[in-house]
Amino acid sequence: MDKLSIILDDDKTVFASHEMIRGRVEWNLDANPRRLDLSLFWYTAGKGTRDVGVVQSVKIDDPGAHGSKEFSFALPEGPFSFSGKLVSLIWALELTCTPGSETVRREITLSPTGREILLGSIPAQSRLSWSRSDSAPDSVESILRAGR
Amino acid sequence: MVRIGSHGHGDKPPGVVGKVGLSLFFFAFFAMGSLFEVLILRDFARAAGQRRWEKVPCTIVASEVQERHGSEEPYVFAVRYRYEHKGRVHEGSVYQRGYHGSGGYSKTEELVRKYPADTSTWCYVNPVNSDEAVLRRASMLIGLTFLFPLIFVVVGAGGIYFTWRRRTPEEARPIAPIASAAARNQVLGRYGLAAFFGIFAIVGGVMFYFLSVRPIARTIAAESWVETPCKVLRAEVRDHDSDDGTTYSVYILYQYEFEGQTYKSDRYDFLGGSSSGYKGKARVVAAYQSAGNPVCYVNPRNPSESILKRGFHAKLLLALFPLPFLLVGVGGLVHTVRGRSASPAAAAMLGPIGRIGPIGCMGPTGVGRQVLAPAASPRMKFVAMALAAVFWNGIISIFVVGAIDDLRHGQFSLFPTVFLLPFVAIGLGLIAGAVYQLLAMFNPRPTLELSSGAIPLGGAAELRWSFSGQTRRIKELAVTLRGTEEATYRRGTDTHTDRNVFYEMELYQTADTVEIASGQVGFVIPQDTMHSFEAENNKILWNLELHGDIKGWPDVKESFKIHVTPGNI
Repeated sequence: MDKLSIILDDDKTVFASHEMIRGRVEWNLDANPRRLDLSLFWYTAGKGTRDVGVVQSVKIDDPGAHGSKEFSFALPEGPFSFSGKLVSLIWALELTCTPGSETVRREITLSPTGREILLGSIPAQSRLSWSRSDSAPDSVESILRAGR
Repeated sequence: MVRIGSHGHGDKPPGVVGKVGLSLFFFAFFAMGSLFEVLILRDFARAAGQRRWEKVPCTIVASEVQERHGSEEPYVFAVRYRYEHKGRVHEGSVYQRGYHGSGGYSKTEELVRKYPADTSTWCYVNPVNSDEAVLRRASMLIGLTFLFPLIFVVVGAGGIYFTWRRRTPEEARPIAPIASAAARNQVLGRYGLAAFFGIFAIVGGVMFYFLSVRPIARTIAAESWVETPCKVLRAEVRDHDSDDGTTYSVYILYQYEFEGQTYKSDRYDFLGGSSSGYKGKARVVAAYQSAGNPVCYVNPRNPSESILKRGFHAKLLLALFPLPFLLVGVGGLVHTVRGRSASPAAAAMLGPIGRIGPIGCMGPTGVGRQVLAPAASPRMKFVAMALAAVFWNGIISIFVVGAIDDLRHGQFSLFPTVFLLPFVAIGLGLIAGAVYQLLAMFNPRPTLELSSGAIPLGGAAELRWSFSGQTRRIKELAVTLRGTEEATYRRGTDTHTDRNVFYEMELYQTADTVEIASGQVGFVIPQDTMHSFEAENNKILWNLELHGDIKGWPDVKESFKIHVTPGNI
């Protein structure tokens, strides 16, 4: 049975900006593929039509039916992994085989906080409106507020 | 890791019954398109076959306009011609294969003038059957119409294919190769879009020439034509059945003498065509029927050419009908060709990180003090709203005028009037919106200056504002920082954009007129949130919203996009 796998060093899946991702891809296929492609990319999920940004790709020509290869990618500054009410942004590594439909994907997180950023939602009825008379609660922003 | 369930890339696939229903629907498209293609190909093959017919000299024996009563095409070019083929003399009477006559006298008489009796010309003889000949071969332009039914064939066949094809589950589909292919397809798509608008522009240009430029130019040229007494031979309102109901046209056949020769014509004006509304045309016909000394205008250089109605008249405005098609075609073509060299998706493929900040209003990654530009200026809002109002109401007014005309002549019909009401309401709303934006143009204008063009997450910035104009009219001012996620998706043929506000902080609120006129405020972007991000369909936008309340007048409402970056600048 065809098998592709992506193994990350130390099984690390959370990264900060500009950090290196290192690991190894392994393949064990029934026939000799023409090519294997390993890509580092982000994609969006949610209500909107999917957007994809491929950051880096590595091509392995004539890899043979079985084998393994180490890889390393430098992550960019962003965009960060996040999840909102409408949009999620997911980073992933993907190994594909040509010809064939065999694919394996390994999701990772790019975030300065060590986890995916969660975006909340402010309901329309509680949104700030002109008629609002009470001031905003004390916060860094309100402390910094300075009039003329 | 938190995930959003729906991927927004297609709904639940239909069951077998649904697939059969869809297939029948698409098969109807396919069958109808195929039938037309067969008919077009048959005519094209016949026209192409006539290219092999032999061109031989012939003599016109007789040529006249014959009238056939009770027909949609009552005027027939009746011709007889003699030719010699394979040593024998033959006589033909076919002008063109498939020709049955014409609805207008003038067009038929043009043929009589082109092929007058006792003159020599060329005719085309079937080499297989010498008795078969025509004066004019069938046009091969029929082949161009092949493309139109092809759309139905492709939609039908494609619909059936996509209804039944086996789809790999979305989770198992690779993303990166599909994205690469999509980026390539988007570049190809730009060429396709340019070709589409190009065809639109060409068709619009041809229509504009034949339906607008030529009739208007001829109307102007007819100003110098010679006023000549004429005799009305026949005057009637002709009705024409179409998909949109019955339309009417003025038909007047008249005779006149010019330089000793007698001519007939049935050209009323240069626009021709038919339209709804019977009574106006009936009045024109009645006026000519009872006219004591009617006159027509004759082209002195070609006396067979004449017209009854010349000069500017309101109907000439209808000649401008193809103009929007031409403008849309040219505008779309220019926008597509001069647009961004690569689409956002394609750019995302090329760049290392896609775009992680707004590019539009602030420049790419500007640091240092920045004067912010509003997302849309009051003038632009007014122009956009006014154009929308003119475009919408321009179309709706045609139907409204028709409905009023019917009402004035006692032909009130309830259903079309009720159907029209929501469209009229939208038109009135657009006019109200345009008036609102016009008033808003006279509001005090804000200028916002930010201490940095790019603020990192967790970073602080200082905002300064000032107003020009009658600032005292603003009774209260609020400045709000807002983070919004935007998702654009297609549903059927429509494109929708949903928005969700994930962060909102009122930075400043005042009713002090001095503070309203100019002020400053410091603020901090939260650390644990998302930076600015703009892809083609999904965005994270940070905005500073300014809201100034003016009593009894449109408020000042301006939005300014700011650039929040992932890390330290």
